[in-house]
Amino acid sequence: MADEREREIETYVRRLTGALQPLPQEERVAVASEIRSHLADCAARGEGALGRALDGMGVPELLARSYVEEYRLAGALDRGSPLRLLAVVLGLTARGLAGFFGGLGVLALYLTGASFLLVAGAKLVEPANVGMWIAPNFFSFAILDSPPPAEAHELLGYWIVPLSALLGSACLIGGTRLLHLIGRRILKRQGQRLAAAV
Amino acid sequence: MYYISVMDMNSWQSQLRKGAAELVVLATLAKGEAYGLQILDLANRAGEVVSDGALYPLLTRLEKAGKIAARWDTEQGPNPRKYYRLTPEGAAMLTEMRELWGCFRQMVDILV
Repeated sequence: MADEREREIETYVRRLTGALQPLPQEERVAVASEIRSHLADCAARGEGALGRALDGMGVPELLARSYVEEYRLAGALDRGSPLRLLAVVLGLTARGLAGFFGGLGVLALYLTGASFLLVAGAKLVEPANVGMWIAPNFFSFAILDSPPPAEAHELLGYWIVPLSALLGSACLIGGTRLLHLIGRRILKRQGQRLAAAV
Repeated sequence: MYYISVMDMNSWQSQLRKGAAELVVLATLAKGEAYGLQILDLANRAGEVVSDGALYPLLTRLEKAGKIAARWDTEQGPNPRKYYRLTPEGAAMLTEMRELWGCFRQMVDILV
């Protein structure tokens, strides 16, 4: 009977450890040891106690996911790499509507920022086809693949370079700030979700 | 219809636990150092607030946030145990949470 309980514990811990692979070795071992110790203590309380503890723990892969998600998100927030953080946030926000649209907003800001920077750079290479043109029934702030209509009047000249660079940078900084805000919010909610996962 | 109603109550109960679990765990550790199973027993002595599977990630999060500190004891008993204790930062947070909880409870008591 004791052997059977030990086998149950080891099976649970092995599945948990396997699902904790993304965590650093030290952290993985610490989590597995603590859960093993908890289950062994429960098993020592007598008939049925281990079963109740295993039920309370839930599926090992789900338990592991709560550690892994938090580790990835906290790591991405600490390391400050926007692309990494964006990938983690988009991966996690697929489960929440507000976060999902927040993630899309960040993506939109990054794309807009990159477009402005591209305009700034392109003006230096192809000055005739980059600018802000205005004419009756025509407005364009872009890189054109053909010359603008003859009646169109270009408004910015080379001022488009610093202006686009400024707007592009603002979009990228804004996107990154929004991303960190969403990341911290998810981390906080993640904690609350874990606390409520009875 | 009955099924939906039961689901709603479960969801509501889960939301209540959401708010209470962190406070309950910190308050439990305010009584002294304890390991996971002790915390679970103390936290759930009046009814289930935290489950086995919710407790450990919560402890890890609180530890990483500096609200609690931990040490391993490998000498007592057959299993190594990780003991947790409240840090000054955690104690300050607990004080604040208790005040907010008290105000919230009073407010709800008046209304319901």
